[in-house]
Amino acid sequence: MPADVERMSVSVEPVDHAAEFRDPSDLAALVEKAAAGDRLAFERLVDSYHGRIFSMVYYRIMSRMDAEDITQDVFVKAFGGIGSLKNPELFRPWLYRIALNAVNDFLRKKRLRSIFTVFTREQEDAGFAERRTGPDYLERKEFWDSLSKFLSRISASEREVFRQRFLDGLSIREISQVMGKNESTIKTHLYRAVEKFRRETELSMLLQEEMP
Amino acid sequence: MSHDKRPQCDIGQVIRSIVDENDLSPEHLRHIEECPVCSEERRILAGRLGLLGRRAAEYSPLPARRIVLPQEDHPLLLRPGSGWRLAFGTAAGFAAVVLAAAWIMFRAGFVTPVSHLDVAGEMARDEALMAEISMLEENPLPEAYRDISPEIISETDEDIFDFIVPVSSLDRWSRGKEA
Repeated sequence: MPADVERMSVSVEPVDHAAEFRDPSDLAALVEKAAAGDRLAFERLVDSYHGRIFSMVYYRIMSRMDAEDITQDVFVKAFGGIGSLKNPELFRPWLYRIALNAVNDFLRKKRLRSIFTVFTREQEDAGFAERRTGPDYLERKEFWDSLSKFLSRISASEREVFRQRFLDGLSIREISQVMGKNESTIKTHLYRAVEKFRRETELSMLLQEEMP
Repeated sequence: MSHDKRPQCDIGQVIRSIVDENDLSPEHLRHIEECPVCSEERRILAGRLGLLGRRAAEYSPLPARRIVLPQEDHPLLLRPGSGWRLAFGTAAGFAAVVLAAAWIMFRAGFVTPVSHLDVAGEMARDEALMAEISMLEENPLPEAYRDISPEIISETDEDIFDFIVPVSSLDRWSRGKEA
């Protein structure tokens, strides 16, 4: 890329919860210490990524209680396995992959349970119960309903790539490492998902209202 | 005839610039930046996507529970290379337990060495048992009943005849006849 072409400054990055690791070498050093058995170093990693992993899980299962449990499991698994992480720079995708596997396991078990149990809408919405009293409950509900409708209309691969890029804030390279697919495949899924997002009127209108 | 080689407005290129602007040629990037239609299209789409991520974060709850890590350091199971060591250790331990159990049973007499004599004795006992079974099949009555069976009576068992037809009545019968 020639230097005379300036990069456009429109950001699509969501909120970064792990802002303290802007310098990748800080994160790599901490991961190395944790991998060598430094418990305090791992606890710092937990403090930095707890919110991100919790949100990542919540976006996929929409239940606060279950997201808390799954996030706990993810960090216990990561604590047990960080010694086997050869390249500290792969910590983020490695952690997200553990989380994604945990979410998929949870959803698989939930589907299996639903064969034998009749879920009511109230039970499924139990995760929202704690926020039903807030003044912006309707706004939130409208947002999640619209997003959920849009995501249900795109393929599973497009959905997961779209979530990882625009909700979790992972880079294309990180998504390819989490998903175990090459970058051009990820870009193809992302392109299709963004194309469909552009045509998605309900969600677009909702976000359009808030745009300057 | 002249061809205008400047890039034209193309929403596909705008989307590609959002997915990964490094994939676009400098000409396309310059066009998207300078073209009011494309740059506005890009601004709106990228803005919506950015807002989507921020709204999702804003409308999600924050974790309330602290993460509790196990007390011990990295569990043995997940240490690098520990899988083979663990498998080998488990196999060796299991083999030791089996050998110890076999030794204890041998010493306690549960398991004794088997000789040819033992085998021959066992065969002789089997043969005797089979002979007894064959005899019972041929003579199903117990021995006591066999003593009074018709075959034996038909032979010359005078005591039984005396019991059925006493000698005194025979005498009387013969005397009457004579009389």
